[in-house]
Amino acid sequence: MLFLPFKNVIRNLFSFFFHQISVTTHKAFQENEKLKKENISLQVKVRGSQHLKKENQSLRKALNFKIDKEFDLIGVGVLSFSPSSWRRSLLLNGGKDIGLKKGLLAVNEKGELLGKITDVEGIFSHLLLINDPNFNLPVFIGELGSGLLKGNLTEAKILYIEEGEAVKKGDRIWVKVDSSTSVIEVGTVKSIKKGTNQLFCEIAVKLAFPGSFLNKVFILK
Amino acid sequence: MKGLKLKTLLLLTSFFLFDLIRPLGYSLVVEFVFLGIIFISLNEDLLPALLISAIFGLLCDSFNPNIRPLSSIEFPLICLLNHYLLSYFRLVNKKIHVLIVKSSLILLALIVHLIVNSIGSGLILPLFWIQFLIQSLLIYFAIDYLLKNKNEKAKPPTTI
Repeated sequence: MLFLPFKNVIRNLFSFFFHQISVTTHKAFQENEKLKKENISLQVKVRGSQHLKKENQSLRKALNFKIDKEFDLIGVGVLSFSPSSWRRSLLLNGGKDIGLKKGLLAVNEKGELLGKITDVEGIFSHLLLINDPNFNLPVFIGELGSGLLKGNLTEAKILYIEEGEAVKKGDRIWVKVDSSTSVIEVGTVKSIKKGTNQLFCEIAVKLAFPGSFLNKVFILK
Repeated sequence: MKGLKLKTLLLLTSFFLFDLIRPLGYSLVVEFVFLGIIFISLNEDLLPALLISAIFGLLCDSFNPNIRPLSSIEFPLICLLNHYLLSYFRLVNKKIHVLIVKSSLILLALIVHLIVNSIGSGLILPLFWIQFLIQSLLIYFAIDYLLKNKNEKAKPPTTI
């Protein structure tokens, strides 16, 4: 009886509070959904920045190499690998448009030889890796020796080394680029063998480039 | 039949992309397209299988400039050989275990591929051959198991 005159006021108060609670819950739910979406997009951004950080580190190394050795480098992305397991070649995301030419050498960010360009088209080019069976390049061994480097899928070998040449296990293998006074590292001598009745020795090479997955290469101009 | 061909085409296209991207670099020496060609030669009709193998052979060769176009000849030939031998063994002896025949034909196709490419590149690499055979066989059986399993699940339940 005491509350009867205030019945409507109490009912209105209750409905007001319920309305407020439902609005707040709805808002909280919407905010929660928004935050979830924001969280996902931030996670994507973090992953992207991690990738950019790695790329930045690799480019920094390449820049140091460029400054140290006074090379003119062009960074090119890798589009695809050769579909055959008996080939070691890459399709690069750049061709005549960025000034690439047939025969130019490619290195990784550490300055280790990767291969050479064999075909150049308008916007793409083919890079033959150092361990491809069709790859060959004249190289220097140690201080005095020289020979022809040839790929053999798993690693590489050097042909046409005379027995008398002063080449020993562990010697450095390198190439010289016309545009610079510095040299490019290829690898080291792994073993030397000579078959009976053979005129030349054959050298197995331990390549400096580990042959793992590549997503960017640097072309020496 | 149309759906089947589209599915096969999609399967081979994804295998081809896998070969191009090579997520594990050259540590995995498997050729997914070639495994796909073996798979369709043993599970599809001859004509679509031949057509698809010729198309993907050409595609593979177009990504390998300056070398002999081996794949565009080899893939249809392997497809034809596998199909013919499978039909022959089924005709000669109906009781023969299909799994044994198919496994032998897969191994035969892989060995033929190995010989053709080794002659083409002029390399004798026994360790590489073993690696190629083991990896290819394991992945082929995994693909075969996954695809068969999926097909069985997709079949509608039989009513009595």
